[in-house]
Amino acid sequence: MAICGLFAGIAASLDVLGWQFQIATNDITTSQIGFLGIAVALLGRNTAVGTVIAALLFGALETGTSVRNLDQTVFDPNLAPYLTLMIEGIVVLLVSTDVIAVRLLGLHRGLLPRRRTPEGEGAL
Amino acid sequence: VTPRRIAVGGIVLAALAWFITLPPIVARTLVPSVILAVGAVAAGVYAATRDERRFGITAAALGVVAVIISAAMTGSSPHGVRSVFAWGALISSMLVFATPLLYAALGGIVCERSGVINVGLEGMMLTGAFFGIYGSDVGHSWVIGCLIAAVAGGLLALLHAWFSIHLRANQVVSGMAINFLALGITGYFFVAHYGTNGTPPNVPQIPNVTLPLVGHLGFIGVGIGSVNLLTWLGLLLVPALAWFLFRTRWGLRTRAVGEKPRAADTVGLPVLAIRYVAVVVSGMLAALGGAYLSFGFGDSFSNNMTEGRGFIALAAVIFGKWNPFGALLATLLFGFSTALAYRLPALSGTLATLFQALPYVLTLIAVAGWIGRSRGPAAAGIPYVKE
Repeated sequence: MAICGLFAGIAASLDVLGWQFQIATNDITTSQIGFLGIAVALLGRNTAVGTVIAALLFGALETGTSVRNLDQTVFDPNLAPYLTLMIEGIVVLLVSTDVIAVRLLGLHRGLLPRRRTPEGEGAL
Repeated sequence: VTPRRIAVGGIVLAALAWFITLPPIVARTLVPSVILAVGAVAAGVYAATRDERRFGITAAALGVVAVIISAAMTGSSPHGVRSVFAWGALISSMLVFATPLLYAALGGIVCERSGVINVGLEGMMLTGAFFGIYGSDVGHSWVIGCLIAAVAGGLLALLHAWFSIHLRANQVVSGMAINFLALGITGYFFVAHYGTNGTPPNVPQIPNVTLPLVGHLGFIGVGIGSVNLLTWLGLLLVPALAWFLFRTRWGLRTRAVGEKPRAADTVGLPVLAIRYVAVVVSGMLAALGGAYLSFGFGDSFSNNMTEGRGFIALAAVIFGKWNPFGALLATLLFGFSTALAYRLPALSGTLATLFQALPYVLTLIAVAGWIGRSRGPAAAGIPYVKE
């Protein structure tokens, strides 16, 4: 858990020192980045390589729908970030269960590697 | 005189040390506070060395904290202290901040008692906030707004229920997904429907209940004289839910499903159906809490306006030990600290930020087992698979 905090601290410092160059008391909490991070780790199925790929996907979703990068004629840039959030929500929702994937691919449980989720998260 | 009583006395002394620097007394020197706080620390140390470690350390720590806060109080102008600690206004804004938390926390209790973790409370509140004000705007009535809020929150909860009960998803992950989804859906419809202007200014709001005859009660009268209808309803819901959970047949069944679903199933209870109902009810309650934010206390919607209140509500569930009355106490405490945090910048900005962190600190202390065991329903988070 200490290492986890270490990585999270680096992530926040990257955001502030490498991009924003400023900080307000509630910058990090309002930007949802921490929660997106959890989503990325889940999508990467808690493996290092998978996490990189998932992070690239989410990063592409975020930057691709930002007001700066989106063509006005393709999609309303004011709406696009929310569409991104919806997509991310649906992705995480589908990642949360392997029953659907198992059904769709016609696989049996057990053929897929069991998702290793941290035990002991218990009742939140 | 047991060591525990001495420690409790110490805690009272520490509270007194702070209290005498506040209205109506407003002591201007630190001396009496320090004397009281030293008494608190001494009592704490005495108890801690005689097998009452928990109470003793609490009393000693509170004594130290009391000195620091009292120093901040005596160091600032008496006018400032009087304006920040106007008890009537403080109580009424405590109720304002506690109400949405209370609804979401009660929802969380129902849900977790039935064995489903609901991290999606935040999203359900947000959905209630937006669709509530939308319904109130379109239907020209706050009743319709409340109904639509409850339906929208219930539908989102139904999605969570389907994933966590039927598809046996990881409930924490599914709840997180619900939060993202709600953030996206409400933001999308908000911008698509209202554009950059925001919600119109004349949306019907949930009315305040103005009590007659409370004007004579001094600061309490100021505090509860004109409080929103949803606040009173929420306060009534607390004993109602406690009665349902601990005194009725279906409450017992709900708890049984949350503790030992296998046993509940063996005696013929519809485990999955009970869980579905509990999750949907929790979504509806959380949505009402959100509705209070957008058109009860406030009169407009803004993106992500719940700002983590759902998570504080989860903390209140834990702090209140999965009991409605405990949750009420926790939300009132959290509401008080938030109300204080909003009024404190007049005195000290840093102190205000510290008070904003109080709910989280208290929850950490609660989870660490400092206030006795805080243990959730045994089957919470575990999908039930029928044999």
